[in-house]
Amino acid sequence: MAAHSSRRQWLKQASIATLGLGFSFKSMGNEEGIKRIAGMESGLINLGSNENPYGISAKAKQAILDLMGETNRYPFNVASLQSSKKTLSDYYKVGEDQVLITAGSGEGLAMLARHFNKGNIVAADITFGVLPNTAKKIGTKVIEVPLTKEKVHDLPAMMKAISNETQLVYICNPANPTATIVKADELKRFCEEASKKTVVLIDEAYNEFLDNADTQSMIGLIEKNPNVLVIKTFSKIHAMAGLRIGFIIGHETLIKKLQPDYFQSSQLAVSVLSLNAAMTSLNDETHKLMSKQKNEAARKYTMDEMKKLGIDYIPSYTNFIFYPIKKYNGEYASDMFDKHKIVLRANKYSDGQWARVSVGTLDEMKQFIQVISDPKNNMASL
Amino acid sequence: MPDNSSRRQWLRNTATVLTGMSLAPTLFATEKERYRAAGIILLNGNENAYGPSAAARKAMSETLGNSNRYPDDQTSSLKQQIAEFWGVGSENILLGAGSSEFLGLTSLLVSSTKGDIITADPSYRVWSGQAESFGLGFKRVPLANDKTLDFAGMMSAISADTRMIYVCNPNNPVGTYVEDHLLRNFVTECSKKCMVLVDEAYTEFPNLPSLKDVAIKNQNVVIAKTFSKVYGLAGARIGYVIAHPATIQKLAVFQPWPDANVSLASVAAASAALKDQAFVKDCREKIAQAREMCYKTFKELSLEYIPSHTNFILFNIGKIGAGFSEKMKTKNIFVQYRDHFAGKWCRVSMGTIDEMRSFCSALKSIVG
Repeated sequence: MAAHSSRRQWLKQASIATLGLGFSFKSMGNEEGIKRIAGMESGLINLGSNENPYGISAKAKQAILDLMGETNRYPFNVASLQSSKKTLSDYYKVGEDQVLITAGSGEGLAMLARHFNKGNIVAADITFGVLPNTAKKIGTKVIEVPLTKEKVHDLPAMMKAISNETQLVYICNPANPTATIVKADELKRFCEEASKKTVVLIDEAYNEFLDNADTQSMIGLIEKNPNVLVIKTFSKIHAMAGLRIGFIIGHETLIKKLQPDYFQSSQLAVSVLSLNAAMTSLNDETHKLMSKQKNEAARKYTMDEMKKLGIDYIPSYTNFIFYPIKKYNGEYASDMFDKHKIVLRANKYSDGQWARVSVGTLDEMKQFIQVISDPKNNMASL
Repeated sequence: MPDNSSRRQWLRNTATVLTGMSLAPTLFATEKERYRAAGIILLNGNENAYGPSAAARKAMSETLGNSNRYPDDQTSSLKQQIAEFWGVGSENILLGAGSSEFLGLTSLLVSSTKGDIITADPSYRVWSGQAESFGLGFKRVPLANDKTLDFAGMMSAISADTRMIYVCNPNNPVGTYVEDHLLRNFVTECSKKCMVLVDEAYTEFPNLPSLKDVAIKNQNVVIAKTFSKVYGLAGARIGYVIAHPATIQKLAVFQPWPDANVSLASVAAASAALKDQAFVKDCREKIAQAREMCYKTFKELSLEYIPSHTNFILFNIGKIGAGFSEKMKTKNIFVQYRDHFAGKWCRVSMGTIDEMRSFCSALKSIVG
């Protein structure tokens, strides 16, 4: 952890970089090279990275402390971790050979972009950037299918975009940065149809924020379908963004093809502490429910207040809210950071500027509402 | 590191040992205590038995409350610290989940045109499966008579199809190293023709200089470093590369975002470990003592061994062969068995002095 003084120093530098070197906070994800900021002690409200503000569970903390003395050992040399894959696969009712543990789902997405590096990839415009951006940088063509005007994945249009050249279709559901969902039965039909022609990847990073998370998940498809992959993370509902652990679930034939591209053993990618903490948190239903309910309450408060203020937003199913700032002149996210000490993301799209604010604690959201409701601040962009 | 089949075997054995002793996990506060109670001595992974240091443990435990945040500001600080440590710029550094990540990604970088990688035989090869999955082949060049890297041989193996040369110096699993000026010349010459990946995982044990000054000026040289060895953090999965900024950028393209794959606790541990050079010096000395103790036993038992400059020793187990590691396992000692130089060899990692005393006495009872 950076000490107070060095963090302040860093913030100063970040601020200088923001203003002086042409960087801005307009990115929706750090994949564009914009740093995320923790900075809690500095009075900043971090609503920029869809993190879980309630922290990891007490049990997960204990799991880290328990294994700390073993951080000199490779994961394969820590006896109790040999059952991690089984713990994970049992929880999701799949086989051990149907999971691949990665250093965060971010690394899983980058790895899939590295693997499917021929032909083209079909993805939404807009969507979470890691996979399409990595693919583009590597030189893979990405066919970007616009969202509907309600900012929902346009499944029929995505189906039409699939060609013989298509290697992978990427759907983030619930979607980032737009916070919308597609209906489970529609998505299931899409997966079944599209997977006849190509691999379909469903990113379920935010699935656990849904009321009926299990029935919304596509994991049930992988048993019989060798062309469906689901990617998940411990960064969101489990509050483990700093632990860098996620995983891919898929048919064993596909997982077997992906494995050699990665580490000799997928466990070699993840710290022993993260692995132990994640497996402990997996079954901690109380902590997950607490995160979900508090998020729901803070989200409802925020959306209700925005409605009262007459501020448009896309109804959110996640821990972030996407709202238009079309009339805002200037760098919205930079101004939020510099003038109001709130970190969020904003970006220009084909239909104008939009902002994405993560749902923090209720107190943090009250401060956010205070900032956007004050006409003097002009941050509502009405 | 054990290969797949020996790992499965190992797991079976560990399970047997642990179950056999009917240890209730709750009885033991830490994993380490559980191992100690089971009496298992791990000499199979070239880990540092003295790690993690007290400073690293403290640093890790202080991060618990921030585990919910992406560690971007901490990774930036660590890169700055590493850069200052080596006298390079932070644009020369990229962090990854162990140096393993970069052995894979550097292979991927050179694989856009199919071809081969030249390495020594034997050398570290756990990552070779990744390179092969990227469509690259391997040309393995035997060591010179004195069991050091055969630079002349490796140089003459270079062809138009060569995409990369991999040198691990000191060389795992042999424990020898080549002098700095020879390595510099070799790397510089080879880099005119292809990428050169220099694995410096074990340089701290003989206290060798880094080739960082060559790398930062040369787009075809990548230095891989790790916190897994002398710094005692193998389980934290954190390492880095030192390279030219243009090469760093090319490697970073393969990551979800630069430095994405290291955990907050691991970053904190690495930062504390790098500052704690007294721990490094202490480990270096104790490991040298452990080596001397082993040499003495090898001599007594007339076992051929290769004098090592690292935290492991390769010694010949002649006619005992593969059965040797099984016999050691029955004594709760885990070592690595391999065929090398048309013979049967064992690589034993240096544990604590006490652990090596147990190893020596087990060895005597098996061989003597």
